[in-house]
Amino acid sequence: MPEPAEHLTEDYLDVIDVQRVRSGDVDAYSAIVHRYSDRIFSLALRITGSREDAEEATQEVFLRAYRAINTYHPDRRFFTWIYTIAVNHLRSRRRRSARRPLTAALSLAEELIPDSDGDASQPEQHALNQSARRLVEHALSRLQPAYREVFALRQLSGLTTREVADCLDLPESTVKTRLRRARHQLQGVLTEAGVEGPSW
Amino acid sequence: MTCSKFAEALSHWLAGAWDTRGASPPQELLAHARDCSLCRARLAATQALLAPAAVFPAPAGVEGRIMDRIRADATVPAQTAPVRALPGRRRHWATAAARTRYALAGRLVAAAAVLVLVTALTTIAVMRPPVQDHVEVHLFLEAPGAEYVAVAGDWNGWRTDAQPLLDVDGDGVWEIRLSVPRGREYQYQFVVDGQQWVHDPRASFQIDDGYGGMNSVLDI
Repeated sequence: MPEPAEHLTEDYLDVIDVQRVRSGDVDAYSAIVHRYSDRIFSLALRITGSREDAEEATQEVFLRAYRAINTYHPDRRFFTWIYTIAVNHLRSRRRRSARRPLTAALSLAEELIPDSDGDASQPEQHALNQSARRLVEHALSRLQPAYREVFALRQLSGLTTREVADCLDLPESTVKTRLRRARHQLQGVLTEAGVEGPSW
Repeated sequence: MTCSKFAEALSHWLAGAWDTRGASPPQELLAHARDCSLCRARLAATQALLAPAAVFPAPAGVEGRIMDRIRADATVPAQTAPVRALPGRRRHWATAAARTRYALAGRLVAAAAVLVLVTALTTIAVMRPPVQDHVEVHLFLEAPGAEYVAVAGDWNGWRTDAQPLLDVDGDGVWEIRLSVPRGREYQYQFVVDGQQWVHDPRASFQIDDGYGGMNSVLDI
């Protein structure tokens, strides 16, 4: 996460750009898109698991945020406001595509465990990376959606508990509880007793 | 160390490692992982989830594609005077300027009382004085449990996916603001979850849509 000083600068730029967009300067929105596209994409990837789905979701989130720009209240950080839109959209998207399996290829696990340049020529390392990715995918897929949201925002995206609570409109205590349960579930999957062989 | 012991030790280490991102695993874990490919994969997966937060670059060109969609979008929120900061949540949206538009508020409240058992409760309101030849309208629909809500009407060709409403704070109230050319009458309905057509019970007028339902009428 950026340092506090960067936060202040970013918040200031957000306020300026939102005002410009509201006054009819569409191009000002490109600065907002540029500032947040990587982070919204990363969040979408962490929740959907698929790069393709994450890009579609990223586009939709920025479109929805633009349409709703007049509902943004400057008392709230723009960063948490657009994350809220992203989370809501990803929830809707998940419900609509509940029967569609996550795209296995080019997934979050590949982003978390990338092959280095030399791995392609080392079958053993490549196979190890593949196994680790499958385990990551398996572990995350076992999380209930509400826990995965919190885990993606807090653990993987690095938001503070307060920021996660703002994004999800939840009490901090609920965020902490969900995070603790998510970690506990993941801990169980990552270390589950099937030591005689991989169960994923 | 056996794999069972490794699992126990990994669990013990992991319990304290969530908040210390990037912490190195104990030597005993590393030593066993060097000799066991299964546990090496477990350790690699664990470390991947513990790694400091990273930002993954969005695909090349996505920013341009987003801006292309923004510029092509019919629901332009701007082109009007900047919105004054609203004091608090949406419940306070009726600014002094907007309140002057509400001679019909009493009728709307009466209609709401009748419709209190209806799951979808909507409100339409003119938010600000008209700017030039457009009027900004604020539509909202109370539809807790809905997954997707859009408005379809004369102005968007009755497309069910063109103008989705948002429930930004998750309280079940979906809303959208539209800038609509004034001086004519529009008919519209809400579309819930892509299937259920719902008229706006708070609109001043309803008219038979010819399909067994009612179109709401926006006369501005």
